[in-house]
Amino acid sequence: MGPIAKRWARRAGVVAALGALAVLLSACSDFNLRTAVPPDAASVQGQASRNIYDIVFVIGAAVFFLVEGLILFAVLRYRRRAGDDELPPQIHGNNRLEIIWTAIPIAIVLALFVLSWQTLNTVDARTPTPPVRIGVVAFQWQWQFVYAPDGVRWEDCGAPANKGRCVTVFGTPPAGGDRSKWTPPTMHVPVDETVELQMHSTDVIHSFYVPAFLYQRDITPRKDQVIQFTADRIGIYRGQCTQFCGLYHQFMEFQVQVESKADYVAWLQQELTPPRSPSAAPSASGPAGSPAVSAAP
Amino acid sequence: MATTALRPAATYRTGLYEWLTTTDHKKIGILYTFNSLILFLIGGIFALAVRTELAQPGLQFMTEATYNQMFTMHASVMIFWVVIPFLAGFGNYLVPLMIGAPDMAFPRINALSFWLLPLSAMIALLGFPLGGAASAGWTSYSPLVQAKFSTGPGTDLWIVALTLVGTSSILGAINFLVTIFKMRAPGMTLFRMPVFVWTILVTSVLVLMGTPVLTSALIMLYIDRNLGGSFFNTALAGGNAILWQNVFWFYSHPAVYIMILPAMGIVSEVIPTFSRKPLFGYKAFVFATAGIGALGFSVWAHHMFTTGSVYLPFFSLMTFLIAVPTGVKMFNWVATMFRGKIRFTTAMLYAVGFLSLFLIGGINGAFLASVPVDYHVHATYFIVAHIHYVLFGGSIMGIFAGLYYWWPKMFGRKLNEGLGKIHFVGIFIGMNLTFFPMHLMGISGMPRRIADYSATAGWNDLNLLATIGGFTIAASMLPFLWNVFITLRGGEPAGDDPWEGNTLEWATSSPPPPYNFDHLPPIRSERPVFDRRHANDVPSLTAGH
Amino acid sequence: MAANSSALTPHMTAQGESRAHAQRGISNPILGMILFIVSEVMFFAGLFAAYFNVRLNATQWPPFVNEAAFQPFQIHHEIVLPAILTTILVLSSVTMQLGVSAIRRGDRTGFLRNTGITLVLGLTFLIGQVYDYTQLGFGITDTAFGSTFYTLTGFHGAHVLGGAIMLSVVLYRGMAGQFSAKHHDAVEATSIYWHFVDVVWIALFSTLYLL
Repeated sequence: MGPIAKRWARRAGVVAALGALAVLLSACSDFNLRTAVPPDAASVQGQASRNIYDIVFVIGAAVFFLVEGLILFAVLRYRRRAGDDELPPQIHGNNRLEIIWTAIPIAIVLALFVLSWQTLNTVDARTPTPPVRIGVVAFQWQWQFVYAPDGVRWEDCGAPANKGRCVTVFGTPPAGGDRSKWTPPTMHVPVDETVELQMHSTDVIHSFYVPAFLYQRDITPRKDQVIQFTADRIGIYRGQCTQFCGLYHQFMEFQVQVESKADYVAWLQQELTPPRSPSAAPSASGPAGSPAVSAAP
Repeated sequence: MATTALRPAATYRTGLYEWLTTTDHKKIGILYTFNSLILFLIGGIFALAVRTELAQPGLQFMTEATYNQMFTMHASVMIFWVVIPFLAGFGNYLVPLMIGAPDMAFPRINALSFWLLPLSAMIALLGFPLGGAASAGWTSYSPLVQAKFSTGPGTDLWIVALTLVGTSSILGAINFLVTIFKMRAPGMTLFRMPVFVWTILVTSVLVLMGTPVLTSALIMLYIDRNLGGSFFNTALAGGNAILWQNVFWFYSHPAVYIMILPAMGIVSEVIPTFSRKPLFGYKAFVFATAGIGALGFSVWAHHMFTTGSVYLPFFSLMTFLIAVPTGVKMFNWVATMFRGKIRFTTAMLYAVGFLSLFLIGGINGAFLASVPVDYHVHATYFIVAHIHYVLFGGSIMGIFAGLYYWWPKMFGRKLNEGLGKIHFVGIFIGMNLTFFPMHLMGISGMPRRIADYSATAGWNDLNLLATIGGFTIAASMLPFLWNVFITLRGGEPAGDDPWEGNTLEWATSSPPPPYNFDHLPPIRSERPVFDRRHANDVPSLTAGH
Repeated sequence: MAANSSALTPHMTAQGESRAHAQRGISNPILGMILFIVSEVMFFAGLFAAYFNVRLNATQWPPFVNEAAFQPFQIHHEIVLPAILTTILVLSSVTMQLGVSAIRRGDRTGFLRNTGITLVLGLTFLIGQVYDYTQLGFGITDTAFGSTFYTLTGFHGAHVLGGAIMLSVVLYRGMAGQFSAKHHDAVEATSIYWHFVDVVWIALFSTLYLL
């Protein structure tokens, strides 16, 4: 290829790079470096995940800079000069090097595996007596959170004997895909207490995901899931279904409100006292969407 | 060479009928290439539709229903009708040439393998005019994919089309394996085969073992949807949604290696040629390829860490371990460039682009092997970033390296290098602009496959940036298409061996005659053409090993 | 230029290399058939995986046709006809092998006779299976048991049909005198396929009816 084309290619590259940079700089209205790292964990388990994330990130970044540096060095240093027609040394390999760059990665990944496994045991740890139990029902395209009193299974909240003893949190369903006519439900949990979620899906697979907890779990029909977490920071956190679940998948958002024990108890009491609170319990096996129909405020 | 007297391209202008009925592996390889290119453009349009809709919060251009079809068909088309057949097309064109064979073992089955591709692509795309293409995601998780939730003919057409693609792949794999095992030229021992042939060999084994399982899964899904079966349908007694994920990923994880190994093979031909050195650690490279193939069948459940239904430590460990042979390859490529004399042709630029982008795809893969990290980024845009750094930064960059490298062999004319470099720069920048921000979206919790997102979640600028990147990639395809057009109408004649290649395809004319060779150079190493070129050099230079 | 299509590989004898590799070892069609069978094994492995998954997750096996009547599928009681069909298929494998041995010796009559018997036995098996379907009293929609049962046996039946078609082609070509002791790759390949179909059935019969 001729020198003119080469110059053109270089120019095109510079222009494109400058353009990209300009776009980057001009578009920084809601971008900030906070999105470059995971959210500050709001739960004990999330903090453990965040720690292992940071370790993987540091090792990954080190490997990246090492190898990318080697590539760049080779590319810049070993260019063929014009007129140089001599063959470079024909090196076919080096077993010692092969062993080194097999063994070191094995050591790194084994270390990462062990660390991950230890963290996993923290994240997936279960206590048999969680102080708070919440039933989570996922369906197309909403969530319900059911708070049953001690000794009552959330699935039994629909029974006449339990009338008025359970709290069920609804959101408004997406009406024809209109975001403005829709509010996500809020799950209230007390801070610093282990919360158990007993999760059930009535139709397709959904996934319970709270980025601030750095945690998600698929909810498969006929495979109810139980997870536990301990929120340790008061605040309201965004949650969303991550498993593609059909037409209005994007609307399956919810919020988790972590509050003090006193606030939590007060909220629960307030929800229980006024009889206007809809106590129509979700039918665990009912058709999709039916629980939410009664939820219009 | 006696064959150099042939006029370039003379044997390739023999009319439509010839192209429709050919059993010549080279013509079939070219058919694969153009079919894949056309579908690459179609799949690219779907991708642009997705990126356009996501440029800003709020639904501006399409309904959720359309959006869901777009991302489903984008992934399906790119995986099953672009990357896999593109690489199979290179295999078709090159394997017989590289091992000194006159054709594939079963030329007519080879033609059938190809013609199943446009047929199946049409069947899958037929969903659009018939009321909606498949829209349950390319993974088609049950029960969402069941008749109750995915109505209309799109999903059934998708199932039929994928079964046909699978059949094409299986027949192709059998053909490759028999060709490689039975039709090597005298002297072409297994450990003298070009690395590209090795990667096709391992890929074929993966196809042979994995694709039939996908076929069985698709058939069970079809029975579920249309005949009232209850394999995966949780609405019926005994139906198990996790079973679908297991059988699906048993194929679809190895499919990732089916899509990357031949691209690695291409890069392993391009880098030594333009560094003027042999591939560093040929045998280590072959063993690493085989190692990836073997480990590839023991990692499928890392797609299912968040289901609560798999044994996490085993699959986590295996997924971490599969990074090792990939790392070995990376170091071998870099070592090949070390102390070389590198010529930066467009093909070499793409190969170096492959190295630097696939590196990122490998490293962010290690994040996903760590179960707690996966709990956070699974099914978010981090996964989208990862898969595109592997399949776009890896496979597509490898494919373009191969196109620029072997185009002169295929057509007797070089693609224009200047346009090629503009193409490369555009695609390299566009690719990073599109997919790098997706890491950040994913880390901050943006789920994939959502048609719209909250304006207050902090994802607006990242999405806009990714959309600009998407259009940059699209724009960079224009110089490429123009390049193809002007080259086919008469580009710079290439000659038999324009790059000073190493492997046997450079020992015949460009394009090669039917049945490829009239005379083969002696095959004493994995670089027979290099050996011939330097037969009279000072011995110290060529004495290898 | 090398337009001579009959030369599979250029001869290199001048350089002291061995003969063209294509003429060594097992022939291309037979290797191709063996690889095809590998893929078929994986196909049935997928179906069997589904069967065992369903079975291990079930509380009652075979499950109840009718929960209220406490009436399970009586699959183990209907074993006589499947057992006869199994015998027929195993016999057909034997006759197939006799046919292959015959053509290896160059005995065309014996080859045609045995291949013909194999084809008849195969078709008998198919007819018997269809009859069995009509007698079972449950369908593909009757729980995951019905789905797995009919999918497994149905796809096996389809493979027997495919094998029968291959046998017909072999028989037709045999009658046209196309096979000899030296040239009968198609016969060998068909016989491998037929044995494979037989083995799959034995696995199916053991799992579905006996286990």
